[in-house]
Amino acid sequence: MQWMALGNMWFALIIPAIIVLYLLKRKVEDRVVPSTLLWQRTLQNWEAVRPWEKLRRNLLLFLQVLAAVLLVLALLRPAVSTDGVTTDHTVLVIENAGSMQTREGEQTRLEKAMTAASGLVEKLGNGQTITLIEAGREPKVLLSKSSDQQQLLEAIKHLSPSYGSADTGAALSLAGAIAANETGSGVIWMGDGAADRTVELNAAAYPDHFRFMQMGMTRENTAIGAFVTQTGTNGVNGLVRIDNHGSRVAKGNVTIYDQDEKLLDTDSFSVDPGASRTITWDQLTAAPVYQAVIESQQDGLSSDNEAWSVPFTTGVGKAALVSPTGNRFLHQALQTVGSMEVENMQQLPEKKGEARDVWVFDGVVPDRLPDGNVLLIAPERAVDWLPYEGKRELDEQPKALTTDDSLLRYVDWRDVHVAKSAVLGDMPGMKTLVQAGSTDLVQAGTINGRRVVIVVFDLHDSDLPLRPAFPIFMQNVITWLAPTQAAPIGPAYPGEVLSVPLSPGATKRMLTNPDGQQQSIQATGTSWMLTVPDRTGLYRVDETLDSGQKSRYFAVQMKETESDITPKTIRLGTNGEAQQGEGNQQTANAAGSRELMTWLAALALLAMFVEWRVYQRGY
Amino acid sequence: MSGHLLDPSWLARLERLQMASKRAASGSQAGLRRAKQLGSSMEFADYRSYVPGDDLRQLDWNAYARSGKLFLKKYLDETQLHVNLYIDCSRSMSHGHSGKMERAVQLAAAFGYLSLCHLDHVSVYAFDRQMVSSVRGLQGKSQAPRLLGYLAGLSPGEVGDLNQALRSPGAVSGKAGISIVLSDFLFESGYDKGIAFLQAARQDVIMVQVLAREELDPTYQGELRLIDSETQQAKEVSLTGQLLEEYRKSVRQYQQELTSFAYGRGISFLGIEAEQSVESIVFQVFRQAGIIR
Repeated sequence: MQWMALGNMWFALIIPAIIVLYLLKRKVEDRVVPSTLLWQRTLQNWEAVRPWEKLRRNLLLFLQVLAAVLLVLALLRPAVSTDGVTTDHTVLVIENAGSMQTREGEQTRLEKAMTAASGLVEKLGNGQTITLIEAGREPKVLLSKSSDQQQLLEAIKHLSPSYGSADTGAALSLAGAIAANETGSGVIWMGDGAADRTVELNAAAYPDHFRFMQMGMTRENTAIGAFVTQTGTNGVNGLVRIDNHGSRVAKGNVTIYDQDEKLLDTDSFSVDPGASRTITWDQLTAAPVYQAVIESQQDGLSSDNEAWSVPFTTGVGKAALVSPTGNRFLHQALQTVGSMEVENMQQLPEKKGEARDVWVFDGVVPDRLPDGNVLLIAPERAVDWLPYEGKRELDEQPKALTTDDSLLRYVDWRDVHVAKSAVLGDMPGMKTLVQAGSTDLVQAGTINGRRVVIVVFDLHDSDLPLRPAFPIFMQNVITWLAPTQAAPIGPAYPGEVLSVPLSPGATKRMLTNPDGQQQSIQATGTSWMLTVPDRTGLYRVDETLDSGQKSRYFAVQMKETESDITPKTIRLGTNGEAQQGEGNQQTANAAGSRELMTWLAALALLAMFVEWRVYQRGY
Repeated sequence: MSGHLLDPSWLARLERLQMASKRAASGSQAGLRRAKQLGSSMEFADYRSYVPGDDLRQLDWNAYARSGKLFLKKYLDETQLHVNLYIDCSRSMSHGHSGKMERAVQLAAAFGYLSLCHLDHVSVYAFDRQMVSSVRGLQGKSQAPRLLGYLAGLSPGEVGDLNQALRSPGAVSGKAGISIVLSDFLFESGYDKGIAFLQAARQDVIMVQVLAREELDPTYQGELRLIDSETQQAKEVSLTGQLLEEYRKSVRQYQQELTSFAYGRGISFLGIEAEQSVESIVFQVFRQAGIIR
């Protein structure tokens, strides 16, 4: 029960006023009778038989006060949260985000919502329909306008917990749009409102019957905000940040494990409400992956109590420079880049298999593209993947077409001159970065799943190697061509798309899920797009290379924002403009309640009618 | 008031009536009542054989002529009846325009007059919570003005208490007779002890309850504070149709109570309405009830 207009409480003054008026009005006529003996007997009998008769004398007063009380109550606009579906067509939105996995007693919030939704479906009246929407990472309509209870219950039962974040705004507009299409529609939103706090929709565009059913109660939660490890000079350094989103001091232990769940270190912590604490370790035993687990006394959400970290290593890639004539500039530049181990070759090796992360061809065009990314300089013949069209003298100044490409960052082409250049035909997937006149000088893109950069001119026909732009350009090119080396697989969030860089030359690639399920990776090229499953935990990518097995780890974790599980109400139409009348109505509906004002007013009317009858009949 | 106490037009009718006494009176002075003893009245009772010493005047000579035997004719003696009239003068009787007391006085005048016509002893007592005044031992028609004069001079009294009044000294004559109590019987302390005391004094009691129509069937409306005329006690009531119905029920119940009390003690009880005319009360109500004939 809530009061929408408690400010009208002063109307209650009418009640004492009525009583005062009644006291003033009430006059008793004195009448002398011969004897009251018989009256006494009468009244004794009367009051013995009907004890309420004494009250009845003031029946009119009671009725008046009752009517006044009812009117005042109606003015206070009480509302009760209703259960059961009240509209003909109900859009039932169930939020499914990470914070909905918070435990509320026996059930998680999602399970609570599912139970509540099942309850609503079971109470579905004749002719009432429900559109079921799951508000996950993107809103999904599970069933549209269905009155089949069995089907609805089935659909609700098959909701599976999601650890991502919910796009509340999108779900709201979808639900609103569906409800707006159908007259007599209402929206029931089951969630904790924690996913998106900045929902502000135009209230007018939203149906009147919006009801928010709060599923969350607890707000105590301790989470690992960040877990980072880095290889230092003497061992691995680790850092754990523990966030307390609750309102009480959180105390507990944090434990570090390696990939085989072997305990490496443990520490205790105490975090003030709303604060964070950082715990650091150095000299952790070397391991490919670390897991941090916190055990807190008060914790609503369990899935944010584990975090994984792959130590950041500065790996050294392998590059092969194939240059029949030798190129000192190029060799020097590749050495300077530093992250590469450069092997010089006179020509392309006959036998295959020797995998390189980056192949640099200078004045040589291989018949087939090798495994790995390719930097091709000064092509001199046409092959089936390269439409070579001859050579041309150049007069024009080279000019960068784009400046925001990562390859051209900080590269200044203004002082560079190119005397002679090859001419290439159009290649799909390649993008021209630098042009001189109409001649393309630098192209970059993907051919057959490999990243390829082509510098069309011979470095000896240009003063580029003498310019400061050259080492920067080479650095950019190598970084772009060899991304696997420096960066491990980045952190991933459930339900999102992750680009997994692949090692070139692997014959077999497997992805292992946290529950041990394996999935082979069917991909060519150097990267693979993975839609991350809705499951947090540690994933492993195994690649079988000629040089042996290579395992890399990546962790799928909940977004940090989901750890704040404080329940919040979604309110609509509170953006200031509609504060009067209609606006209040909207707010009232937003709270998920039904107003009793009309009923109270009707009751007051009834009381007045009864009062009139009583007055007329002269009881 | 004396002129209106009894209407001369029906005095003649009244003279022909007499009080019906259940028990035959046995008085010492001669009157017009048939006495238990055989005596000298004109009323024949029996024959009996002459024994020497009998009064020769009582011999039935006609019988002697027919049978040659001497018979004595026996006649019933005629004697007087003691009639005591008790009038309730309490304030509840005299309040307002109900005319309860007036009616009671008129009835007393009627009873007294017809008793005087039959040479009965008539005593009138007025009481409220005690004996206020009395006139005793009236006999013969010549005393009628005294009776009526006394009755006309009665004035309303105080709070009534029948029990106390009837048991006070001098309230009962001591001679067996008829006692008629004219009252509304609305006494805070009840009536049973006083009536029982009268009965114990060999009185043939007749209770006459005089109630005004206002009391029997009130027509009040609205919020009222009813004040008792005697005790000044107030009772607040809001009169509704149902409550009035309930009141009428109480009245009937009270009368029922009085009737059953009277019946259980061999007493006559009569309830009359003050608004009825004296004539109709006397000639219809009382004759039908067998109190006078």
